[in-house]
Amino acid sequence: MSAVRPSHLAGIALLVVLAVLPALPGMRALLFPLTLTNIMATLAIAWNLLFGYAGLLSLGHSFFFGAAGYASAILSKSYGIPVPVAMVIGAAVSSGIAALVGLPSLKLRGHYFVLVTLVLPAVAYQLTNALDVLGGHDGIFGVPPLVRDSYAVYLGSLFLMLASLVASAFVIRSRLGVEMISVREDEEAAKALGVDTPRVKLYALMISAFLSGLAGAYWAHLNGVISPSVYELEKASMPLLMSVLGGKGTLLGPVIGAYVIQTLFESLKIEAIATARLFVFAAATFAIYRIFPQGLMGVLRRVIG
Amino acid sequence: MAEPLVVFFYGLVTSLIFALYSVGFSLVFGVARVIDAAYGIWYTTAAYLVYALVTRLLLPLPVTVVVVVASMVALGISYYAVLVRGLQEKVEMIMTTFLVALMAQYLIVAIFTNFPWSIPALFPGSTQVLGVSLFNQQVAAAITAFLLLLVLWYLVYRTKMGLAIRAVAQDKEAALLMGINPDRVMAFTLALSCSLAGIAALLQAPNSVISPTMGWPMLTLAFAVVVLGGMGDFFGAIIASFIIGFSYQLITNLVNPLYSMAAALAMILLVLWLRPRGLFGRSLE
Repeated sequence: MSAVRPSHLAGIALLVVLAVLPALPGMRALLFPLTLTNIMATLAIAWNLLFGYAGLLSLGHSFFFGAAGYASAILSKSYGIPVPVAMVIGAAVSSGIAALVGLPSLKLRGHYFVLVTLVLPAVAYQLTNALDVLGGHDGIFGVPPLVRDSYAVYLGSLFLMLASLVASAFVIRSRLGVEMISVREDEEAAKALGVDTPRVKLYALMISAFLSGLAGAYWAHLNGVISPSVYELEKASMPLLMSVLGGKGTLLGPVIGAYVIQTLFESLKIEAIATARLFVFAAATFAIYRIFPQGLMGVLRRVIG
Repeated sequence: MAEPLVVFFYGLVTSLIFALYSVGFSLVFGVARVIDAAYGIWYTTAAYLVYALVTRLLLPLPVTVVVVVASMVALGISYYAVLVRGLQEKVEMIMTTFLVALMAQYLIVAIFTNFPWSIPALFPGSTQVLGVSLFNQQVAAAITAFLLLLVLWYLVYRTKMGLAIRAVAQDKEAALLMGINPDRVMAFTLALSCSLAGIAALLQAPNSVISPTMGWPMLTLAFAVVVLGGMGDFFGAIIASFIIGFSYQLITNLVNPLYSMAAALAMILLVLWLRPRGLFGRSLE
């Protein structure tokens, strides 16, 4: 780790380009889409930490994303709590709900957890629609922004993505990370070797929910509004499509997937393709999942190596 | 406030349709050991098929029924042969079937758009039963679902194919040694489950609007039924369908329809926490 590797230099160079690019004249139109991309990449990183490393499949990460967004929006708008503090509390709320939901389902075999995550956003969608406290069908308007300057918001999103990446790397290299991978590879064997598997899965879920929550809160303050549509299937499927496309179980895979999908998403806004583009993404992800389980990262590695 | 008799009747109809639908999910889980995350989309697919046949092609009812069931059987068999057969590991299975569901859903959006189309009642009009006015569509749905559940019971517990299904559910290798072809049994089970999803759509979707996401709540309810009744337990699934069907109608009519899903989730979590093998403890896992 001590020696500076060429890949590290390339990464730093790429970061500098990303930081400076939208500030160049004529590039301001890129600010909002790229901010969105960084947020979605953060969500994909969080999802991938859970699935790619602990082997826990979540089909409802939009729930952790949206719940923190709601909590942060309400705390900052109605209670006047400073936005950064509200975002952290919001993410903690997501993490807490994750623990509540995870406790009964994580002691069982993996597939019970998957089905529970599938139900979560659907329930949240109905509840936020029903409860006036949460803004009802229209959602919550006038959520205060983190900062007024959109370039600063963009830099913040880049920092958020980088921080999640570093946090992921840190978790993966810790004892917890090793235990997570052992659960993914063979839960029974991990148990036999004395790994407290329900606890490992619970921690992985809580960390993932916390990072998703930060992304969701950032998203709510970016848009200034959050409504039940955040819980729709499209948001829930995005981190999955991005991670699988980019390469699940790799650090950078979700980021690459997020950038590829969001770029295509923005450029395919032509009417004829717009209705079919979600189908195209799903089909492409399906094909990649079946044919190249390692995703674009796997393809890249094979080309370079 | 709705009349108790009306709530009772709709609870009955809902329960019977849930039972028909969930038994398919439960059988596929118990026999083929497949958790079909696409099980909701088969319901949606069948509903759009009914819509296309009835309102666009103007086919008569018997032809519609035959075409829908035949297509769902063909779909189930090809689904098994092309995809499900090669899946071994549970999480991979759910991921693959979920991606299939996403593709199918977005394909439906691309073809039919998100517009909430409506299907006219296949059995129009209403009947007076005990002084309560009931839609004929619902009465027909209740009778059909009841009869089909009887047929299903006969199929699973009184025929040779049913014996083979239960044998494979208990022990695939042992069944193979007894001369049963597990591949055929599993293909049959998937065809059966897909056609049950199709029939549920045929009974439920007319007289209401359809949407590309309509299958996900159904999948949630099937999951709740299976958790409550125990995975792969035929009678458990039917009893659980009645518990969930009646609670669903009670909450919808007395509290607020928007709380029904939250109640289902609370029920799932509570049972998973306290009685993970299902209320009757006969689950396979």
